Amino acid sequence: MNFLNVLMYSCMHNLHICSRHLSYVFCISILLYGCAHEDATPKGRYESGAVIVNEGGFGSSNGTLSFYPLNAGVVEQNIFRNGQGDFAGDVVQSIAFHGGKGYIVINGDNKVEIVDSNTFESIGTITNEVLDKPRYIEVINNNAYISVWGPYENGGFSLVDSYVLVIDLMTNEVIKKIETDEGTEQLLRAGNYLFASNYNYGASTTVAVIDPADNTLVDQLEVGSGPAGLVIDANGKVWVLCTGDFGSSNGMLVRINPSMLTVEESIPLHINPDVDLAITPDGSSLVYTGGINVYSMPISSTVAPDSPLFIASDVVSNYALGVDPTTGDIWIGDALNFVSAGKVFVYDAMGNAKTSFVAGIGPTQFMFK
Amino acid sequence: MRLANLGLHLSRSHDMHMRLGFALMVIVASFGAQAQRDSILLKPVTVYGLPEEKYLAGSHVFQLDSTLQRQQISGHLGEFLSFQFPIYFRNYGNGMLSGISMRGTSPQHVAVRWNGININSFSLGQADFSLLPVVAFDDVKVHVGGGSARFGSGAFGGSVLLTSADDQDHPVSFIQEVGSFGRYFTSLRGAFQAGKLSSSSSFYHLQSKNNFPIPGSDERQTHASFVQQGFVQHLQYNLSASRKLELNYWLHDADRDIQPTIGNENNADTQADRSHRISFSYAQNNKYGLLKAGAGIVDDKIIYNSMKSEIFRWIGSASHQYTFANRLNVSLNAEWNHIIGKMEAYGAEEPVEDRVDLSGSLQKSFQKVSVAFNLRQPFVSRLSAPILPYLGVDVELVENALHRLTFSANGSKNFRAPTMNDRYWLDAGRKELQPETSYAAEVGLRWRYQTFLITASGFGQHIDEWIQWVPEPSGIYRPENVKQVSINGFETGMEAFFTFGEYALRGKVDYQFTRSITKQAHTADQTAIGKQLTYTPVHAASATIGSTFRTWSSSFFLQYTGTRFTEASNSPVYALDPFAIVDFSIGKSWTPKQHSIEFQLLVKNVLNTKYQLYSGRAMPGRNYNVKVLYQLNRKHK
Repeated sequence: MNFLNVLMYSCMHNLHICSRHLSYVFCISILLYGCAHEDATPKGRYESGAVIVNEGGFGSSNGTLSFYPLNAGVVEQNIFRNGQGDFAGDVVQSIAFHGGKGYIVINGDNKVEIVDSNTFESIGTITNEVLDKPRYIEVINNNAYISVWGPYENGGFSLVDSYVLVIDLMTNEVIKKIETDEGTEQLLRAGNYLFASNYNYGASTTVAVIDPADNTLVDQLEVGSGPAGLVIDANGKVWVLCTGDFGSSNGMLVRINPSMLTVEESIPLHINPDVDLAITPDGSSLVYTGGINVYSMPISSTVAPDSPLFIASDVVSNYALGVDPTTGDIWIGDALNFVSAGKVFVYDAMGNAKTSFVAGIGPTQFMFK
Repeated sequence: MRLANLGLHLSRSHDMHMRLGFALMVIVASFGAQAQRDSILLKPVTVYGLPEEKYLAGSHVFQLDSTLQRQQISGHLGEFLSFQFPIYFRNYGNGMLSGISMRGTSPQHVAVRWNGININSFSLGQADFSLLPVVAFDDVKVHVGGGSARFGSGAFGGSVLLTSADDQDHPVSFIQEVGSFGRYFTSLRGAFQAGKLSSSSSFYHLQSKNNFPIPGSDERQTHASFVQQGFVQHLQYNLSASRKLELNYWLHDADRDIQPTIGNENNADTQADRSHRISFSYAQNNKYGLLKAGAGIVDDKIIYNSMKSEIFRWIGSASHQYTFANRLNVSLNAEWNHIIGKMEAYGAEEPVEDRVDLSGSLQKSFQKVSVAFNLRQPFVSRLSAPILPYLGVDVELVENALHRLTFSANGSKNFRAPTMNDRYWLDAGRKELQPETSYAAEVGLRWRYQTFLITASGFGQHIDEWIQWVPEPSGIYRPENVKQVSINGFETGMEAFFTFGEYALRGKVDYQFTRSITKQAHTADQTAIGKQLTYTPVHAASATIGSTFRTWSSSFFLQYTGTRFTEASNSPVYALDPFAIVDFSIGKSWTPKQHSIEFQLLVKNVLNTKYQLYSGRAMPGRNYNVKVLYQLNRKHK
């Protein structure tokens, strides 16, 4: 990218921050200043916006991160390239931000790439021989907690040894391998504990509770078949989206009290929802999908909605769901046939289409920063 | 050191040990028989068939240069062909799965035949060219363009015709190669005649650590080692001067660590491929014509990690050829495949499928015109296959002492039967899938002027009912006849031969332009419409120059491949860059008395080009290979 483009981009970027926090006039002056004086540019061109995680083609090592500066409306593809190839890696599963760093979990490559969260310049790589199909990461007290599916059984594709791996980020050494039920998936820190949903395509039924103080498995709470998405609501309660048994319609939303470690509510959804669970900016409503049907349920409700909030009829293969924590916009990732670059469809909180754009192959996660 | 390596590998499998024992026994027997043979000279056997190209008037059948073939003897057929023609191979790494793409089609759209038997994988539909070692074949021919009427299912882009035969000119030959990245290749071949029996046996072994430095990175490739070995036996018994029995057997065993994508950690996937191919035939040639009848078995096993899949086939065939006095050739053929799918993924009950093909061919030569017409009707269990015609013509426009200008044209209808995976995969396959069909046409000119040959042809093909695995609303992927693809292109080539005293030079250059465009596709694949197929370069070129001076020889091989899209909407983000690679070899030979000794140095990827044939899979930079060949030549009277 040439210098002019970078300059133009950083100006647009300033404008975007401005429009969200400052008055317009003040904004213009900052903008002019920013463009005239290099020192005052933001921490990096990816400081604020949405990061789209794209898996890439399986076995093609072309998983990418796309960046969408909110309001600027011009998506940038492939913002991070690993040290060896032209892309982020093979099957990019998820990203998490912590302390100015981004942790990118590369499922196919069995590693975690660490980048500066504002520039996406490489800082380091976590590799380890027990890192076998890593899924998600959470950082607590300079330790990384990585959910790992582990090996397949001999001669098949059944999971037999899943765990949460605790890695010291100073030394990259494994501190602890915490055995969980198979298919450990999403991670969420709530209160004093780290919650891990044991998904396994519907074959596991628990949420693992880990105490980061001593890295022990405190409990595995029975919630329902296929626990996947995890969020915290306005009351500090943890919600788990259970996708149900494969090929049935017994998905559930389950509320957990994160200090008592008890299941407080189980709400049958009468569908097999997709894996992602999101929450509105005020923490009052849960958002989930079943194919192209997008549902919304207040946290106070005890029954699932009969009909969807809206139908994302442009979407072919729903593969990712996110809610912008500022605007409440609902984002859907369309993976199409996994052989062409997927699309992102953005709707407002009521389900009115706002915009859409092309991302990378297999968009699977949105992270707003 | 070399033998120690061999022993080490063989001890891995007792089973293999036994088979090797047999292979060596036959080869050793041929050494012994050689001593006894001496002056027993057999009457030459007169069993002829019409060359394949006769029945394919109007299109091109290329026979590969045997000298060049010998220079690349330890490579696989994909590596060899990519320097001979503008044919693209999507290799999933060095020595890994290699799928051919001819004239803008996909790897399932080329029929590969060995001694008349289709050897494409019946589970996947394509042939893995990395498992077709150049050393196993005495004759390699390539037919470009639609040829289902002649070669059956899958002959859309072209057909590769492989023959393992007798080589009585060299009673003994031995090749040893040593190359970069722990590469060793050994081949041992013996042939003998005893009475009415003649035998030709060869054993080959290739292994490579394949831990090459990844170009553009400071790391080495991990987990990509491979071992391949095989045994080819040709046995012929001449019942009389015009009747013979033939047995061909080919065993190929491959074990490989699957080369992971660049930057991948902790990969442990392995694949073993074990194939047995046996064909037994009777042929007689008399005043009633040439009659052939054959039976065969093909057993293909793939063991991925510890998951086994096996396709077992019984094959029967019969053909009759007759030449009428007015230069009209007629051939009638019948072919039967009984296919058994032995795979967990197909369910407890093994699916069984029968495929019967009935075909007839006519070829007539006039003074300046040769016309060929082929017609085939395939029958496949539980589906209806179309009738497949091929009509082709060659016309000599100019023919004199200096020039020969030939016009050729052909048109054909072709088909590809759905694979066993497409039809029988549990909870996904569809038994009711229809075959893919295509209409193909081509016109070309060949101009020979002294030792120059210039060719040019334009081709077009429309493929319908193309099978794709697409997501259902439930998210499950299932195959459907959904895609239409239109292919247009042209290719041009030049061959030349010069001599200056003792110096001889032979050169060949080819270029192909191909637009291979998706016309219709599944709802989930709409962005592909109007776009070039993935892994199908628009521009491709190849060149070879071979020269000899007295007992010295050298060869120069060039392959150029244009941009390849790896993403269906042709996004430049995912495109693979164009590249050119060059191989160069230099050799010297000695021929004391009946013996030939050859020494050769081959430098591969001389320019140290960084390139990928499949997204994310590294290919090696510059590397070296040294070969020593010994041959005992049969004394000719």
